[in-house]
Amino acid sequence: MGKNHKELNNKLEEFRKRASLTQSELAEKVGVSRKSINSIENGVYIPTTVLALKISKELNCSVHDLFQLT
Amino acid sequence: MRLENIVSSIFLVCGLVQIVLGVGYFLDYAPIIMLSGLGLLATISLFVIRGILYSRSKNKGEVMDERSHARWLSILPIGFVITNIGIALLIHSVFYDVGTVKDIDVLIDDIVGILFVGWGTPLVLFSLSEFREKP
Repeated sequence: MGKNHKELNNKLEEFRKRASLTQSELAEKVGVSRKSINSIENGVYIPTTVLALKISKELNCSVHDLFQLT
Repeated sequence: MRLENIVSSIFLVCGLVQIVLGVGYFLDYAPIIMLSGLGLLATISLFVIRGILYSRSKNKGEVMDERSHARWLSILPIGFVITNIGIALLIHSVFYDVGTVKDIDVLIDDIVGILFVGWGTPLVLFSLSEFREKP
C-alpha cells in the first residue's frame, strides 16, 4: 500500500518531525507500539478516533490537521 | 531484541509447537504424541510471559495495542474455520466409510490434531504478519 490510504491523506510524519519526536517517542506518549505509528504514517493502518485524538493532543494540532479525506 | 519482536517470537514458537503436535496426531506419530503436554505448556507460557511483559513494560501498547488487537481478531477466525471444517470433514468421513474407524481413540486423536492445528495456525500467521511489517 502507498503512503496514503485510498480515501485518507495523513500528515502524521510531517507533524511528528515538526514536533521533533521519533516514532518510538510518540508511540510511548500515546501508549501504542512503534509499529503502529509506522503503520499509520505509511497509510497501512487507520487509527481509531481515540488514538487519533491522543496523537493530535501530543502533537498540538487538530485531528483534521493530521488526517484529511482526499 | 525489541519488545515488539519478543511478543511476536513467542506467538511464533507457540504456534509452531501446536502445528507440529497437530500433524503428529494426524500421523499417529508416537514420539510427538508423547509430547502433548508441550502444547499446553507452550500456550500457558505464552500467556504467562505476555502477562509479565505487559505488567513490567512502561508502554503497555508495545505488548498489545489496538492495531495488533485488530489484526489478531481478523486472523483468529481462520482458526475457527480450520477447526470447524476439519471436524466436520472428519465426522463426515466416519459416516461415509463406517468400517474404517475401529476405535474411538483414533477419532479423538484426529480431533485433537485438528484443534492443535486450528489454534496454532492463527498464532503463526499473526506473528509472521507482524514480522513482515516494514521496520
